[in-house]
Parts: sequence; C-alpha cells; structure tokens
Amino acid sequence: MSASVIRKYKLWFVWQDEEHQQWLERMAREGLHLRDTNAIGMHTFVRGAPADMVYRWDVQKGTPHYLQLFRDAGWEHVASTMGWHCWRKARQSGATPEIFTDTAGKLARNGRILLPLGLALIAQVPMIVSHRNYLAALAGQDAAFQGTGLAALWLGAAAALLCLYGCIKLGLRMAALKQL
Amino acid sequence: MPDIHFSKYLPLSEATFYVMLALNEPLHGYAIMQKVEAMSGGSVTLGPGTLYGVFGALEKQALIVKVAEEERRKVYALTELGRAVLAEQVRRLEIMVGNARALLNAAGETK
Repeated sequence: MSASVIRKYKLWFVWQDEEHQQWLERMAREGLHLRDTNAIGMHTFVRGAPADMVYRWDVQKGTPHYLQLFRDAGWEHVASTMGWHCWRKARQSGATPEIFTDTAGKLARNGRILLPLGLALIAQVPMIVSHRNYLAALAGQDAAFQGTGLAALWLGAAAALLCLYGCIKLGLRMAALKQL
Repeated sequence: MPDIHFSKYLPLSEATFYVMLALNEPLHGYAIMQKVEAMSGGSVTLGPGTLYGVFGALEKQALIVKVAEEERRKVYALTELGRAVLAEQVRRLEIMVGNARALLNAAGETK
C-alpha cells in the first residue's frame, strides 16, 4: 500500500449522517479525500491537495439511471455500501450545492434511513413481550437466561434502545422538515 | 379526459411544477435541470436527488412516462393526464394571482 493512502477507523450511526458528512469535508480541507468506506466504519483516504468539497450521503437503489443523473449534475460517486451512496462535489465560490433542493425529497430520504431502524425496533418487540418480566430477566433473575443467554438478552436490549434513539432523532428531524 | 380528481394531484410543489413544465417536450434529467434553471432565472435549482424523487412520484401517478432511454438516461414526456393536471394548476395559480393583485392594488389605492 502506497504512503499516500491513509486508513481511518470511525464508526457512525445512520442518524449521524450530517456529522459524518462534515467530518469528510474537514478531511478534504486537510487534503484527505475519501476513496472507499464500508459498513463497519473503515475509511480509506487518498492524500492530495486540500479542497473545499461538499459530501452528501443518499440512500437509494443504485440503478444506472440514478447514478447517471447525479453524475450529469456534476456529482462524483465516491463509495457505496449497503444502499448508501456517498457523493461529492466542489464548493464553488462559497455556494454549497445540494442533492436535495426540496422538502419532499429530504423527507423521503430521511424516511428511507428511518425505515430499517423502525423495522429492527419492531423486531425486538416480541422478544420483550415474550418475557413474563423482562426487567427481572435483564437483572439475571430468570433461570432461563443466565451466562451467554443473559448476555444475548442484554445485547438485544442495547440494540433496541439504540434503534429507538435513532428513530427518535430521525423522527424529530422529519418533524422539523415538515414545518418548513 | 372525463372526471379527473385534480385534488389528488394539486397543488404541485415548486420542483414538481417546473419539472412538468419542462416536460412540455420530451427531455432527460440533466436537460430538465438546465431548462428549469434557465426558465426560472436561476431561482429554482433542482438537485439530482430531488429530481430522481420527482420522477418516481410523477411516473407512479402516470403524469409522466418514459419514452426513450439514451445511455443510461431516461427520457420522459408528459402524459395526457399530466398535461391536464398542469393546465389545471396554472388555471388555479392565475386565479390566486388575480385575487392577490386586485386586493393588494385596492389596499394601495386607499392609503
């Protein structure tokens, strides 16, 4: 691997997309340009000249028509992972180009981020209601859930809480958009 | 075309309105972006994400239809229904503008 390629690990959650975009823009200003990334947060950057770039994540099926439309509009496809597409474009004389210029489009995009989180959250519900006393089981008072079983129960609870948090964050963002 | 339930489609958002207006002639996405920007004197820019979403919604409502495909670019045109919906939107906008002009001018004269 050449010296001009730099790897950085940074885990982020789907509701932190705006912060992540800003992080990529800060990297670009330091001359680190994203080359690839994956679902578990590994980022590969190529060192180059510092640049004022706009980074945007979209969630879509990457059909040829979709990709061509963005490229025609001057956006460069940087990476894609699990239906997420990372686009970038140079900021021209301080003006920030956007991939979404209408409220309906922004709402739909946030909805596409929210949907799998909501489904994951709903998937946890039977797990929770199937226990006669879920909190007691978490406290280790259920004989059926000890050791690894208890650890799995805690993992599930943590995942559910995380999904719930994400759903609330994205829901609030969409509510704010609806008031525009 | 009998009995169109216009309330199902109207009012059109600014982005949707301009996309339909541009599709007075068959065009692909990028040509629509350029035409809308020129038509609106730069006041309306369509991001590609927005345009892709508008395409999906309009195609689903059968207001536009894909008429050709040129190197991964879909060329769309207004359908007969789309043309009727656009005309109705323009008719309603004219009433709104007419009402506003009359009221605002009257208010100006009494001052």
